[in-house]
Amino acid sequence: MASPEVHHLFHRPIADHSFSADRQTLAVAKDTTVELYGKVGNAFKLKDELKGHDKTVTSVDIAPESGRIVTCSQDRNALVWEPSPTGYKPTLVLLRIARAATFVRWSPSETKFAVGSGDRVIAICYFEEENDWWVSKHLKKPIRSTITTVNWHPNSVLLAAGSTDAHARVFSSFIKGIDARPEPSVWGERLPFNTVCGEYLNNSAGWVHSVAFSPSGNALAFAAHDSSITIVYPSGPEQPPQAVVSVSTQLLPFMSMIWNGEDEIIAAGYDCEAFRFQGGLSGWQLTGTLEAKGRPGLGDAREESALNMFKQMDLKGKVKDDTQLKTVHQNTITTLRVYEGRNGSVSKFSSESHP
Amino acid sequence: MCEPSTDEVRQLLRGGDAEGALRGCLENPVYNGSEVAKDAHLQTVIEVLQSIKASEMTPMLQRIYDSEGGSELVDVLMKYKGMAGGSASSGGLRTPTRNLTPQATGFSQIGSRPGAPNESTGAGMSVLLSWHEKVVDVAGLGSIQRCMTDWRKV
Repeated sequence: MASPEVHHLFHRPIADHSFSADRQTLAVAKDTTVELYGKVGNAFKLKDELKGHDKTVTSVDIAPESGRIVTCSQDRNALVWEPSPTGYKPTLVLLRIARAATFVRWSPSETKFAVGSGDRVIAICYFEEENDWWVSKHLKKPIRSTITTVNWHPNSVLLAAGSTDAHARVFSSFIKGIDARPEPSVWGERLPFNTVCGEYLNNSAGWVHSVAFSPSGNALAFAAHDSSITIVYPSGPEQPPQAVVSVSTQLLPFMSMIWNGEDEIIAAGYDCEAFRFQGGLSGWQLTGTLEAKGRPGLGDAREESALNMFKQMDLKGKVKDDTQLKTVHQNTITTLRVYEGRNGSVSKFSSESHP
Repeated sequence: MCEPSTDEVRQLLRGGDAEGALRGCLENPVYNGSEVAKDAHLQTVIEVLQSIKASEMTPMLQRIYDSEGGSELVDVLMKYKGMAGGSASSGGLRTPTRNLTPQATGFSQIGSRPGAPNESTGAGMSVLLSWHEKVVDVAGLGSIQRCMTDWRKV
């Protein structure tokens, strides 16, 4: 893998980020605003600020075709930012939730988006022409706790959601008049709104941090707080899945993951670097890290002399200085996104972290 | 959950099969049992661990970890370690000290303080601590993470 491009934007945690389709614009959630960075040469320069939320922005997503940006925040609101010649124009979305909005993603069709919340609902939002207004319908049952993450199936009807009640679920978010009838799939044939197509729990019942459909949509992977990732292969409606493969790792938990083809997953989280998993129906394995260790500039430049050793022992009580991370990210990676790729395979991806 | 067969474990231990005894303990952890059953099981686990030589610990753990479904067994063992390693800080994890009755020595004038560790628990704790280190070496931080995440406490 080529060495990473590092863009240091600011000294604040980044809750979420999103690139535009042409990769010239980067939206970053920073406190109560969303900052838009434009690519100038090899660097990203701040070009606009989207101010409209009055509490921390938790998630941001740019629709690749329309260029619309959706943001959601702890102030319980979601805003759709419409690009116009004079800048971005916000429209409020009627979410009808009483707790923070935690996560937002456009459906692949870009006619809907899903907002996860701390109110134990997922708001499926769509534009109502007659009222000229974004409205929402709630996925409620059987969510028992905060939604931490959502991921869309390629058909724009099925939605996977991870929750702090330790379940990963697959719902139908079919909305009449907006969606075309989906093709029957392993997840089901008739899919009225709020059909629960799958509900999965991991072995030690840890919070689910990330869910992801495989590129075909026929498998679902989720990562949880017990340092595991689980891949589910459903076999059909009302039937037990063909296979549920769980990999318990020796690492810290993963916060985000993306598929690279049907047999590879890239996951990253509290270990501050990205790892690769490979496998299929019969089993999955952690195959290693994506970072080349010992990159120049990070290695110990200090000479290993006896004097130095005793100096370290005297000053710090130990010989080796293990307070430095050898990874590119120096803190938890919160989101991974596909940066460049086609037909479900990823050639470049982006990640972000606390400073 | 059925009561783990302590007798079977003891028998394996007497027969010199410490690894089998350890596996036996870990395959049937007491999650839903009464406090008494949990304590009895804990004593069995400590007994088994104490019977294993220090030089045997890492190879045995590695064998268990590499076997089919073995990583789960090691995670269960980590839950017992949690009691020794984190009893002071982590809420919810049980400490083996509180239920032990102090043994009368005949010389004590004021009687033992309740909750004060006596010699046998001290030894039990130190055995758990030395195992904790070995388990982390084999199963990594992920194992601690699972032990802290899991609602099923031993």
